Amino acid sequence: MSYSKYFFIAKIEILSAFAYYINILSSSVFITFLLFIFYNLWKAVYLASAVTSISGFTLVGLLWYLTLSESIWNSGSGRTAVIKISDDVKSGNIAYYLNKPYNFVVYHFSSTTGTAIIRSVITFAFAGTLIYFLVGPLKITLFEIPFVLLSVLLAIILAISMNFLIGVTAFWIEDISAFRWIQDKLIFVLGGMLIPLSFFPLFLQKIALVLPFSYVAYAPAYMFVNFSVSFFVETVLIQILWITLFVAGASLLYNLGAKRVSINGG
Amino acid sequence: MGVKGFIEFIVAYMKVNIQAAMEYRSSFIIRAVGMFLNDAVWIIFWAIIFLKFQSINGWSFNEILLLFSFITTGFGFATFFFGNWQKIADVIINGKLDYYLTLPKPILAHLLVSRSEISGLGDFAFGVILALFVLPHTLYAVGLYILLTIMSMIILVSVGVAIGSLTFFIGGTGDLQDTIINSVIAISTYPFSIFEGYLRIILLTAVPIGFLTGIPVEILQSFNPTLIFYMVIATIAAVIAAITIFKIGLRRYESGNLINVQV
Amino acid sequence: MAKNETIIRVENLRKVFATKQKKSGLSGSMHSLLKPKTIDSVAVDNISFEVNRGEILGFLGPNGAGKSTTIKMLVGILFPTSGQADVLGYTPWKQRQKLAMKIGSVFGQKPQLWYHLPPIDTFNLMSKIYEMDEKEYKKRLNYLVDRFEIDYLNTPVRRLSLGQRMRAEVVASLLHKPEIIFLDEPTIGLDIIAKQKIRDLILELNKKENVTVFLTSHDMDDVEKLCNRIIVINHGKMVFNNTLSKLKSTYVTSKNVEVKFEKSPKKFTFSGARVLKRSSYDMTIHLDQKKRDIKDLVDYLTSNFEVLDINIADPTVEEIIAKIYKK
Repeated sequence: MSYSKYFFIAKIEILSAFAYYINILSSSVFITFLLFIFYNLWKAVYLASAVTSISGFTLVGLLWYLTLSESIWNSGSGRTAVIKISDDVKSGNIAYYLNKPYNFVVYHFSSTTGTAIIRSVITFAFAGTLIYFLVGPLKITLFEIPFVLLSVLLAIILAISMNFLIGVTAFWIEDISAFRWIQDKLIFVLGGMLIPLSFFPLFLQKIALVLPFSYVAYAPAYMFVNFSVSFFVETVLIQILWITLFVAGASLLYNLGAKRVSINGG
Repeated sequence: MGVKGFIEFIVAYMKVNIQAAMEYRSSFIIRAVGMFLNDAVWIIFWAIIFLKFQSINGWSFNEILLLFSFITTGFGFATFFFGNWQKIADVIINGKLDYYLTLPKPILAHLLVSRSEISGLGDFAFGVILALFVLPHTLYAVGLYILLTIMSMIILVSVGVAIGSLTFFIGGTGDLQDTIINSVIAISTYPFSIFEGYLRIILLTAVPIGFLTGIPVEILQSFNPTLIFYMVIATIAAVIAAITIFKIGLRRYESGNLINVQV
Repeated sequence: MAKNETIIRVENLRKVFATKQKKSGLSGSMHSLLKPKTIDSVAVDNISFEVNRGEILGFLGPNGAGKSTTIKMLVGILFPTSGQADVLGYTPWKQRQKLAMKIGSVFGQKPQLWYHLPPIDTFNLMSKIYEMDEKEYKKRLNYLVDRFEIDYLNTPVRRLSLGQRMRAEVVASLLHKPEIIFLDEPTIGLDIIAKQKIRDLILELNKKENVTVFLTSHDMDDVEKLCNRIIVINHGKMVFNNTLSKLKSTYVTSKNVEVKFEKSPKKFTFSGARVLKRSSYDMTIHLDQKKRDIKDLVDYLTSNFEVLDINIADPTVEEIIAKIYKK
């Protein structure tokens, strides 16, 4: 089995992603704008609290945290792919894919990951420029960067795999949009997308750290701002664990669903 | 066409919109409930923040609840009754404007009421319930709240119309217009007190975003009649600006020289 | 309502569009950004015509000829660069709403009926849009529903066949008793029976209510069976404006005659005619009418041969129009 075709597929998706550049630009501009609002919000909070650090975050650190977490969010997490998967299942188009010489799940994975990475990079470029202009650079060493990038990549893949699991339930569930919505909100709040988990009351922090959502946003963003090798190792291992679980779950459900389709004829 | 005729026309559209939504009953309920829950999540988010920080530049959790009450009630009402308020760019780009131009009704009004998004009811319900919790139970406060919500909604729709009408001039895919509208809504979901100095001035003049939630909340905090006056002025100005931009753009459309728009 | 009342009057109507010219490549884009160059393209080039009440006018022309631009100006959606138009006493682009009350339109590609709802809901909505009196509306609705056989009033439009949908679309455009209806490709995609039904209904309403019909269609059978007048537009200019029969007599200069013989004919000589096809008992003859009369050919055939059957075929309107387009 040749895996090079998946790289090729990823490349094609990246190329077509450029065709949608206006959409990517618009969303990046929106995120940048959001960060401008966050800047005003947290500047006011820090000023009123008259401290330089809250729960381990300085204002600068917090804003760069948010820049990264929002950039991961704006990767799209393969949302369009999920919609397409559930549409294909609903319409019966899925039958065509069952005959194709590639694994359905892996195919979609490679294509969406490519797009997601591009989107995150562009968003970070825009938003980061604004934040740099407003509060200056983050104190980070070059050494840390590749590690953070790895964790960010894993975070994106994790978000995508969670979406895939939901998408595959389309074989059984009429309208998956409710699930997608719930998952988005969970990442929003319990994932530390909008505020770091460190700001939560303790009981909520404990719960959030047990769930996979915090490994989509909080963990890589925290690592970005407060790097430590031990945190890196722990985070990456847990990310890989969750990814494995979700991908396995998605593949299993897919095979079950595909069988159902071929037996029942769609 | 008298007032009676106009009202019958709007009622007729509401009927058709609701009937169309009822065709897919479960989807209707899911979307309305979904919106309700969506708004609730935002309240949870702010509750978490205010657990840690008691006030943000003079705004407490109470003010945030008021803010969300304003924006959800206004947004929900607009989305349910004037469902096309956010979609004007789409209507122009997809060539649907001609349909309205061949019918004997004022174009903008017809355009706005001919669509209804049922999820707006979820937002509206949420906002009303929130208001019941948070408003002082005096007739004055309730009456003022209702007036302010109406004005805030009018400003919101005006912003949607004005931004959407830019399509007449710049064309495009509609993404830019959507981004601007979403940004406007986003700002209005954050405590207005965080914007100071020049920023505050800009948000009250060049783009009247401050009047969507910021000023209404400040009015209910202080019951300051000067602010109420400014609110009324802003509402009138917003409506005039929106209608003017739309009319000028429509004229351009009718001259056929929409260079950037593939109709 | 005088029979020969002129209700559409178009005088030197002209529409020029300014289109941006862009040179290719990146430098071209930069250039067009800084110094946009526009070229004027003339869509409608000084056309003038009149339409009387009760006429069924076929408005024909190839795509891009200026048909829809002209119609948009007549309906008031577009205003002209120069020239005048008077429709039912209104200047369309200046009094659009008033005119809109008196005209109806069916655009084959742009449906008026709400897709997820039964036709009755759209009809009710239309009655409100056109401010119809409740009683009048009910009477009118019953009449149209009966004549157009809308026995699916309460079935959602998405479940209707195309023919059923088009009938309902035409009904929707006729509810408010318009004086003029603009029909753009009303029979597109329909099967023969459905097409015939709609044509018959349009003819009937035209006769009964004197509704003026402004029809654009690429289906020449529509034109053949409905229109008594034809205007042909090409490159923004009017190239023909007269009756259908005049169109035929002006441009029809030949006929194809198919003959069936009892006994195989021996020799055929008739100047001005030549044999296109022949088999033992059949013959197709091409007659140049500029040279000889059809009457003479028929006389010749029946006097000299034992003829079983003769079929005289006009060139189709399509062929005629194609000839005009080529000019």
